[in-house]
Amino acid sequence: MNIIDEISGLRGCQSCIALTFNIDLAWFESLVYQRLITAGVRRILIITDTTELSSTIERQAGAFHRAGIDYSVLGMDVPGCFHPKAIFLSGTNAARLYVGSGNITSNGFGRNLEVYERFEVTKEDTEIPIAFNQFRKYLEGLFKDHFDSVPSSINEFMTHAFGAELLTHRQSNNPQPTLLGSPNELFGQLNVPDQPADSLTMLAPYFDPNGDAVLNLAKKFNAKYFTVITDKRRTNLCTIAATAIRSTGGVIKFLDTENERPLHAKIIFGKGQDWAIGISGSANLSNAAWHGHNAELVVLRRDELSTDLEVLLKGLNSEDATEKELEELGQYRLGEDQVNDEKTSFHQKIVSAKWVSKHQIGIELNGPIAIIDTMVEFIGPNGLLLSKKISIGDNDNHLVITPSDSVRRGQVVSGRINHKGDISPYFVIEDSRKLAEHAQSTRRLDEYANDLLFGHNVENPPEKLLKYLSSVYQNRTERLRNNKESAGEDDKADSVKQTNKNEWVEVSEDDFETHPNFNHSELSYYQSTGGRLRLINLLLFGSETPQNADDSEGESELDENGLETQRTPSKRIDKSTENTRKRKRKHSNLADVVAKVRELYLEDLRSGARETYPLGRIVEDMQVLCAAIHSAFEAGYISEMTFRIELQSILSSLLGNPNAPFNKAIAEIPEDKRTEEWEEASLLLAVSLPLYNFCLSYSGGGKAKIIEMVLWFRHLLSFAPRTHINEVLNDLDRQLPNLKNGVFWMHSSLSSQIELNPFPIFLEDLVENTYALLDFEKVLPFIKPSLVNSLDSGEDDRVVQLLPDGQLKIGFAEKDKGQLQVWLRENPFDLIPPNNGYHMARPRGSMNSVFHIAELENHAKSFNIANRDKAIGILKKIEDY
Amino acid sequence: MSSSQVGFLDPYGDPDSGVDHLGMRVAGEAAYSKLIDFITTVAWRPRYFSFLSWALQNAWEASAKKSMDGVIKVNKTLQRSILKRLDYTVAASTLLADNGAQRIAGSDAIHKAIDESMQSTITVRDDHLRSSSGSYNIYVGSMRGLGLVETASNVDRPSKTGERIAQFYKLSLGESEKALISAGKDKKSFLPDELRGIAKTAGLAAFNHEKMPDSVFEERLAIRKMLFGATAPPNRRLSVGIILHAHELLQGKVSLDDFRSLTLLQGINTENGNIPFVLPEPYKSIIPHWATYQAHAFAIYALESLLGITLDHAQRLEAHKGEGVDCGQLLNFMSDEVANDKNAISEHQEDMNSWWDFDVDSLRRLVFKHVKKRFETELCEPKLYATLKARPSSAGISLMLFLFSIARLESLNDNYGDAAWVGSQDPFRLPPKVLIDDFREAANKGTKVIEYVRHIIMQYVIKQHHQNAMRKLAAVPKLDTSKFSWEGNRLVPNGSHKAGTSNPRFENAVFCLTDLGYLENNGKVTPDGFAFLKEIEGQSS
Repeated sequence: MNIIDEISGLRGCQSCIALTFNIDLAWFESLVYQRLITAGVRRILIITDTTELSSTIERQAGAFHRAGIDYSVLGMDVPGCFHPKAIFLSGTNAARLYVGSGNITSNGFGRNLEVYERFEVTKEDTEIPIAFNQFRKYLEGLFKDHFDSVPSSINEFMTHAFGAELLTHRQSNNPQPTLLGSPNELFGQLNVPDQPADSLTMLAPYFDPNGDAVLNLAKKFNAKYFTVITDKRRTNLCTIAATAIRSTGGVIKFLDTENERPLHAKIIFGKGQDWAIGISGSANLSNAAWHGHNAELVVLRRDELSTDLEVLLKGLNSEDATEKELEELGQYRLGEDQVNDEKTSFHQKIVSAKWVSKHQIGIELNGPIAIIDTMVEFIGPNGLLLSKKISIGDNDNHLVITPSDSVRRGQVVSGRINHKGDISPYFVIEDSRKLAEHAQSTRRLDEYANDLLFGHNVENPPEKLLKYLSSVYQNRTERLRNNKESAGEDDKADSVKQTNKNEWVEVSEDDFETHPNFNHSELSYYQSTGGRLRLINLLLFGSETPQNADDSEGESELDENGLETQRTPSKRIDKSTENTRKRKRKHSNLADVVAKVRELYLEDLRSGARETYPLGRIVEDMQVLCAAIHSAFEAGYISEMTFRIELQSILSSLLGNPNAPFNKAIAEIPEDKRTEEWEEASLLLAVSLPLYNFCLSYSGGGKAKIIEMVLWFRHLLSFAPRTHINEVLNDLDRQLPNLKNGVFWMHSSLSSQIELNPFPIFLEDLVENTYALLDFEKVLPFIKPSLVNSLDSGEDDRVVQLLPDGQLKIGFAEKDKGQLQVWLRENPFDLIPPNNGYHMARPRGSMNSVFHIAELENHAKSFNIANRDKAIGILKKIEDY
Repeated sequence: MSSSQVGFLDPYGDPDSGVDHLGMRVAGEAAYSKLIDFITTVAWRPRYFSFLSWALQNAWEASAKKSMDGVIKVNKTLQRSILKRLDYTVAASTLLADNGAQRIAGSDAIHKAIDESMQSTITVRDDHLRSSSGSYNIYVGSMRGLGLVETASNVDRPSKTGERIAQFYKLSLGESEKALISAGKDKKSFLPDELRGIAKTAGLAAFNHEKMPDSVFEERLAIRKMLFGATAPPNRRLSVGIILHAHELLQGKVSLDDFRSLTLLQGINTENGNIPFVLPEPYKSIIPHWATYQAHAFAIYALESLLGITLDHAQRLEAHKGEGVDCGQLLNFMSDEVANDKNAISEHQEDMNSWWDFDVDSLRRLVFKHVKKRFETELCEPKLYATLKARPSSAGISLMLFLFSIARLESLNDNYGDAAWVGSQDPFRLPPKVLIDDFREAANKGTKVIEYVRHIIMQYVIKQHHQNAMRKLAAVPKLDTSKFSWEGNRLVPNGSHKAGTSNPRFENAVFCLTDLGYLENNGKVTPDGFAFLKEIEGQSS
C-alpha cells in the first residue's frame, strides 16, 4: 500500500480530514499537500496533538508556508496523547478512509514499518462500509470533548466532508472491518469470545513499565501462550516488563533489524477454535493506549476477515529474543504515546484563532483570561518571534490583537498566549477568507474541463474558462521552470526514451535562434504586472485585438478583496483613445512575447516530449487551445475566417497525423483499458465537438466537411472501443442539454449553422463513415508504387494509398507520355494547398510493401463487405472536393 | 465496488543522495558562470568546440531536407545517430593514439571496447555515453553561449560562427574527413591503425601536441580568437588573465586551494613565506567579484561541514532508531562541541583565547582585525579550510571558518558594495547580503556567541537543509534528499553528509588554457600566454 501514490490516482474527492499524532508540516506541504491539490482536494483539515503541533510550529517556523491559508491545522487536547492516525477523503465521486499507525511524516509514510487499513467507496456502489459513519461519529465525539461549542468552521468542514451524496448510500450488513476509538477506554470496547485463544500475537514498539497492557490483553483473549513481537532498536520494552510477559506465557521476539524497517506498526491477532480477531491501528501495547488516557483509533477485523493480519504478521522476519538481548533492554523509558513532562499546563483551550479584519487577530478561548496580564507571542513567516500586548478584548474569552506590521494577513502566522509565564502551546492563525477561497475558487483542472465540456452548474462560463486557463497556465509555468532546472535530467531521460522509430521535426529558416531558451525575464515581467490574466487574454484573443488585450497593462482591476478581475469586453472597447499610441508601442513588445508563449505551447505539443505526454495532458491541451479560440469567437473578437484558421491549426497539430501526440497517445492505451479511458476523458465528445465547430464555420453547416473529417477521425476510431462509441451515440440525446451549457457549444455565433447540421446527426455520420472506411481499408488490394504502371487504370481513375503510419491518401491517375502518374491529396485541412492539394506519388520500388496504392473502384468492387459503397463514396467525395 | 484492505505501507525509500544540500551552491554557480563562462563543470577540451561544430554540420546536412515551400524536415533520430557515431570514432581514435589522453567524454566505455577488441577491428558504436547525442549534449550549453549553435523546435544546427569554426576543423582533417563521414553514416568498423591515422588530424588532444600540423595550429588560433579575442566578454578575458598571472607567480602548477587564496586574499601564505599577488590595474574591476565568490564558497563549505557534524551527532544521540533526537538537546550538544573546540582556534592566536565568552560584536571586531591582515595571518579562511579538511568533525573550526567568511564578505561589501556579488540574489540561497545583514543584526543586538552559534546551526544548517530538501521534493515528488525528518520536537536523522565543493571549473579552465597553448603541461605560462596577458592589459589600460 502506498498512500502517496494512491492519493495521486484519486478521482472525485474534494475534502480531506487527517488525524495524526505529529506532523512534519514542511514535508506535508511539499509532498502530500501537492498530491492532494493535484487530485482536486481543496478542503483540508489536519488534526494533531496540541503539544506536538506546538513543537512543530516552534521548530519549523519559516519552513512551512500554507498552514492556516490553504489548509487548516488544529491542535487537539486530550487527557493523554492525541494519537490516532487516519486520512479521510471524500467528494462527489468517491470516498476513502485510511486508518493505521503512521503519522504524517516521511517516517510515518513508510520509512518506518507501518500498517494501514483502507476503506473505499465510489458513487456507483450501492452499499458503503460502516466505517465511514463510525469515523464521522468518532470525529464528532472528539470535537464535542474538545470544544464546549464546536466552531462553525469545523462544522463546515464536517458538512462538506460527510455531506457527499455517496455517503448516504445504504450501509452494508456484510461482515466487514469496523472502527474502535478512544478516549472511551478502548479495552472496554473490545469484545472477545469466551473460548480461549489458541494463539495470540501482538506487535508494537511501545509498552508499559510492567507490561500491564500486554498481560491484560492476553487475559482478555484467554491466551495461555502468546507472542509479543517488537523492535529492539526502538522499543521501550524494559527487562522487568519482558520478565513479566514471559512469566505469564509470553514469548518475546525481535524483528530482524537487517531486513525490516524500524517498527511503528501496531497489530494484534488472536485465534480460537471458531473465531479470530485482528486489530490494527494506532494503539501501542500500553495502558495509555488501551485504558483511555489517549485518543486512539484502531480497526477491528473478525473471523475470516482477520486472516489478512495473520498473514502480515507471519510475513515478518523475527527471531526469539535471547536472554542477553532481554537483559540489554534495561530500564523503562516513556514511549512516544505516553504523556511526558513537556505537556503544557496552560489553563485554557484555544477554540479558534483567526484574522478578524485586515489588521486584527481574534483568539477565542474556552474560558476567561485576565487581559491585562496577557501577551500574545507571534511567529511570523520568517520564523521571528514577536510579542504583542493585547489591546482590546470583547470579553475575557475573546482576545483581539493588532499585531505589528511584520505580521500580516496572507502570511503564515502562528502564536501562543503568555499569561504571566503560563504559556499556551503554539497554534496557527487561520485566514478564513483565504481558506474559503481556496476551497471554492480553485478546483481540479479535470473538473473545470468537465464543466467547460458539459456545463455542469456553469453559471458563468467565461469566468470558468478563465479560471481553467489560469490554472493550466500556472501548472505549465511551474513545469517549465522545473524542466529548466532539471534540463540535465531531461537529457538523460531523453536517451532512455529513444526508440528505433525515426523522429521527424519540421522547422523553417525563420525559426532558428541562437538563444532559443525561454526567457525568464519575460516570464517574470508577466507575473510582476499581473500578466497572468493578460497572457490569458492574449491566448483568448490572439493578435486580432491587440489594443484590447493590451489594455490591462499595469492596470488590472481589483475587486473589493484585492483580487484581480478580468475586464469585460465592453470596458476594453470603451477605453479612452488617449492611450492608443502608448498601447501600440507596448503591443509590439507584447506581441513578441505572446508569439513566443504560443509557440512554446504548441511546440510543447508537437515536438520533443510527445513520447512522454499522457493522454490527459494532451486532451487538456486541446481543450485549452480550442476553448480559447471558441471563446474569442463567441465574444466577437475574431472573425469566422480567423476562427477557422486558428481552430484548424490546433486540430491539425493534434489529429492531422497518425504520429501526432494525441493520436499516438490514443493508440498506446492498452486494449483492456480503452473503454475506461475513453469514458473517463469523454474522448469522443471532447474531440468531436471542436471538429463539429470547425465544420460549422463553413457554409451549409459544414456538411461537406464531414467527409474530410473522416480521414482524421480514422486515427482516433482505429483504437476506440466500438461498444463504448455506440453507447455514447445512443446516450447523446440525454447528454445534449449538458453539452449545450458548455463553452464549446457555439450557441450564439453559429446558431443558424447548428440548425443546418445538428450535432447528433453530425456525430452519427462521422462515426458511421469512419467505420465504413476503416473496414474498407482492410480489404483494399494494394500494389507497390513501383508497379503503378501496371494498374489496370484509365486516366482520371481514382486511386488510394495507405502509408505505413496509417495515413490514407486519395487521388487520381493520369497518363503522361505513356506513363501512368498518380496524384494524391495531401492534408485535407489545408485551406490553400499547393498544387491544389495534390502531389505526385513517386514510384519507390525499394520501399516497404505497405506503401501500396490501389485503384479504387474496379478492384474494390470485387470485395463484398458491408458499407463498401459508402466507403467508396466517401473516398470519391474527398477526392472530388 | 466498495472495499477494504489492510497492509504494511510500502517503503518510503532511502534518502536520495543529491547535491547542494543547503541550496547555496546554486548561488555561487551563477557567479562562477559569469566569471568563467567558456567551460562548464563537465566541458574541458576546447577542440570539442570545433569538432562538434563540424559534426553538427555533417549531421544537419544528412538529416535535414528542405522542401519547395521552405519547410525543413529534420530526421532527429538520424541527426543524433550521426553525432554519436562521429563522437565515438573521434574519441576512440584519440584514445588509441594516446592511451592516457584525459577528459575525453565516454573514455571508460571506449577503453573497455578497445581492450575487448584485442587490437583487431574496432566497431563504431553509439553507446559510450548515456546522453542522446554523445558529447554534444555535454558541450552544447557552452556552444550555445558562444554562439556556435542555433536552434528551432529543439533542432540544432551550426550558426554562422559555428560553420566558420567547423570549417577550420574540416581543413585540419584533410584526408581523414572521408573516413569520418563514413563513420557517421554507416561504416561499421575500423582497424586500430586507421583510427590512429585519423587521430593525427582529428584527435581531440591534438591541440596539446608540440608538433601539430599547421592546419591544426590555425584551428587552435581560430578557437583562441573566438574565446578570448578582443570582442570576448571582459570578465572572461580578465579571469583568464588572473589564472595566467597566478601560474606566473607560483612558477608552475596552481592548485584550487592556491587559486582560492590568491583571489580571496590577494596573496598566499606558503612554507617559503607570504607571497602577495599584485595584479595590474585592469584587474581591479574583477578582483572584487572573485574575492566575494571565494568568501561565499568558504561559507558554504563551513555550513555544509556543520550539517555533516550535526547529522553525525544526531545519529549518535538517537537512543532508539527512528525516534530521533530532541532538537534542543541536539543544539545544546552542538554548541558544547563548538565550545570544546575553542582551544583549536586560540592555539593559533592568543587574542582569540576567550572568544567563546564574547558577544557577537566583540568577536566580529576581533575577526575583522585578522581579516584585514589578509594572507599574513594563520587565521584566514584557506588555513581554517585546510585544518577542517584534516579534522572534518571539528564543529569549532567549521564555525570559525563560517565567521571568517562572513566577516570577509562584510569587509568586501564595505569596500566594493553589493555589485561585487554577481551570483544569485535569491534570499533562500543565502547570498552574501543575507548572511552579512544577519551577522550585523546579531552584533548590533548584543547577541552572545553561544546564542549566535545555536542560531546558525538551527537556521542555516538544520532549517536551511530541510527547506532546501522540501523545495526539491515539491519539484520532483520522488526525490527526497532530506537527511532528516521532523517529528514534533524531534529530529530523526536518515543519513549523513560530507562537506565538499562540487566545482572543478578552475581545473577545467586550466586544462582548457593548456590545450590552447597558454600554459605548459607543467603549469608554466607560455610565450603565447604572456603575449595574451600583454594584449589584454594593454587594451584594458
